[in-house]
Amino acid sequence: MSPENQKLTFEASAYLQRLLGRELISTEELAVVELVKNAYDSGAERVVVTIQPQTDREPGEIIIRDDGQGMSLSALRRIFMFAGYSERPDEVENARRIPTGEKGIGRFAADKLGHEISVTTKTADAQQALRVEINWDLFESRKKKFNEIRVPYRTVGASEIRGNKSGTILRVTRLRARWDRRKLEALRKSLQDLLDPRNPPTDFQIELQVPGAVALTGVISPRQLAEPDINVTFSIQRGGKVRRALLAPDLKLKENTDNAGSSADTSLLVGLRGQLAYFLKKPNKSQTAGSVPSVRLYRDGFRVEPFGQDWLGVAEKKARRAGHAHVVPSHLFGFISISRKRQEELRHTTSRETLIDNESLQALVTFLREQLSYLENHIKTVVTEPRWKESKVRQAADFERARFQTLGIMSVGLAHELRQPLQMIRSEADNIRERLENLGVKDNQIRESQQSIDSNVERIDRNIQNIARISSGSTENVEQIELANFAREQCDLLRPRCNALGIALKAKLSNKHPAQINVMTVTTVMLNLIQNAIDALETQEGNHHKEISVVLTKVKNNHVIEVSDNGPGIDDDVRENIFRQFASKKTGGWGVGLYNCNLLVKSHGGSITFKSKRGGTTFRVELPDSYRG
Amino acid sequence: MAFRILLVDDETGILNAWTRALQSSGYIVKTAQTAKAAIELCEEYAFDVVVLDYIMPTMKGLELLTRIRKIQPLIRSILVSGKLDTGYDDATLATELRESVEADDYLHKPVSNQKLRESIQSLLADSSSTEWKSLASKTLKSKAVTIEKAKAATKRLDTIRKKR
Repeated sequence: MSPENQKLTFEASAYLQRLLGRELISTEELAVVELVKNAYDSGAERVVVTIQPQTDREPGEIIIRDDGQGMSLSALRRIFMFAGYSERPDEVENARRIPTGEKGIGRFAADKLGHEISVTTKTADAQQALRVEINWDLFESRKKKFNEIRVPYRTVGASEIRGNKSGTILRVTRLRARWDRRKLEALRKSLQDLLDPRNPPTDFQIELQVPGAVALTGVISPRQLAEPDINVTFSIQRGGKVRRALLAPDLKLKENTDNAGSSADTSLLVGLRGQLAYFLKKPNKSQTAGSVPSVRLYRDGFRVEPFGQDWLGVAEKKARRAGHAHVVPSHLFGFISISRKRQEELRHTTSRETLIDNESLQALVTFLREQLSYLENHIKTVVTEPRWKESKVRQAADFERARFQTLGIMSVGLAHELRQPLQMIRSEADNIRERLENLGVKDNQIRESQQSIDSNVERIDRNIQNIARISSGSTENVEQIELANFAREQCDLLRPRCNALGIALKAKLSNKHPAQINVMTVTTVMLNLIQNAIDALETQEGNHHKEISVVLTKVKNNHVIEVSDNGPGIDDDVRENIFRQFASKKTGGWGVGLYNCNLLVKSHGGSITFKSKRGGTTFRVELPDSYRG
Repeated sequence: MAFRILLVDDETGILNAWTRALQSSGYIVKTAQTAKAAIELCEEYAFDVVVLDYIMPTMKGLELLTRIRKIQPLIRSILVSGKLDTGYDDATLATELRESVEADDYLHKPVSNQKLRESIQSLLADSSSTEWKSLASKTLKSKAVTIEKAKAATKRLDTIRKKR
């Protein structure tokens, strides 16, 4: 025979068993779940899991007893003893149910639980039952081949199987884990979560028995969620059409559609049914029945792990938005039902902890993310945006108050800090002047420079006074002042800036204008209005004459201050919101904005109005005199 | 006889500028940057006038003034403040301070050389009155001024102030 025609075959080490069983399954609970699924696949209507924890007196054992169809010797050979073999959905087309197992290795999970297992099984028509006894320790050897390990079997009396009918009993002994209460509770939860709460398998019952622990013993039923605040249900019809409904009675929301679009290939997901349940407030234990918030995937009534807790990226989205997501992961539950028969492509990797990444899975994820977005948009418009808006306004007001307080505290130190260097400039400038005089130097240019220093030192000093007045001044106290002089001072404060920008600042003030008024309000409002006028003129191109006028009059008991500019006028879109917060992005200057001016003026029973057109704007402030004689 | 001035401020720049301004007018000037240094100088030299900052990092100007008065009861004082004084013009505040606090004059930073000199001159003119002079000479003769003596002198000073 020529070498080309020779064939090689793979052979497996006995150790393979360990890789498929003990090391592939991450927890004992999961191993029990796998064995329960096998019972379901065998057509059982009832499976009883009995756990006798290891104690000082009891060696401990786990018994999983089902009333499925059992196995004949040939079936045992063909299926149970044949690693990696499972009956495919099309092979069981006529069977009562779609098998959940897809890998054909679930039985090896028993290795996770204990060193030894005995399998007792009987078909309905057999006269006797079969018993196989496996010692997993024998598979430890890496040198021996998988098929070299001998597993003894014998026949036993039919009475081993309850009612002489059919079924299988797995008895695991020499347990590996200590089954304490916490572990048992975890198992009970795992078994509960195994079942789809919306479409639980009707012809299948799981019962857990723990001798001596009444609370843990009993039939397992899926944990049911309380009625959520927002409920989105959807299903994919034949042809990939998406039917969807949203219901939130408390929010007065109701929406139904027979054809919600999707960018996912929904033809791969026909038959999918799902629900997204959202609680506006973090649900309590009685609402969740203790189950962890997440979007769960169920296949033919049994839970499957997609890939990790956050497979739809809800928590990730929240993290990316620094916690300000509309959908809060801990408020969201989801129940997605698919079928192995229809979505054959959605299958697990061998470890059962993730789904294999393929077109179907991508379609599923894309589709579900779209449903989440749909939910998110509703939460956004109905709940979070109004709430954010409200808190934003409150925050802004708090911030403004804090800003004034901080400024007030700082300004004492700030004034000192600014006046120290100012004092040095003042004194040294005087020293220079005196020294020059002593030296007999008389020079006009030097004198002009000195005058400029003098006036600017005074200007800085006035500014410091003003910071003080605005920040530490009370917004409530009323003082008797000479308003005309006061207004003139405010104009003088901004006149250097106007001069520098080529703006004529004209103050039309009477000589005497006594007023009983809140100084802080007048200062804030005047500086803001003049500053705004400067800003409006500053940006204007061209050579036209720029002018701001400030007029002070008295109408009945009201002091009226009008600040006009001949600038471009206020844009229409700004005009509507001009007294609202954040109407302008402008910062700097003395500005606390028109929003605050308006608040201040209103709090003193006054008003601010304006007239604006192309070619100029006039703001008119009316403040009542507080004199109550 | 040249008058002696003690300047107290935490900034050397200000001390230097004032020293130049006052020395050129013929005063003998000593400076202290801290309250401790000021007290030490007062224990060593007699001063006619002390000019001190209202806010000092370690000790407030007013507190320092009280301590200095215990050593030199007849010293005349000028408080210079850079602190906020909203709602007051300088004159009002100066009067208020003079009445409530034991400073003889109050100036508002930034103060011009001219104003500083005027203030010092007016205090010295005041202290050249006969009554003040006799009191001053009596107290200044005893070099070691005890706290009791200082207290007594302060009391007498108060009477003079009230008359003013």
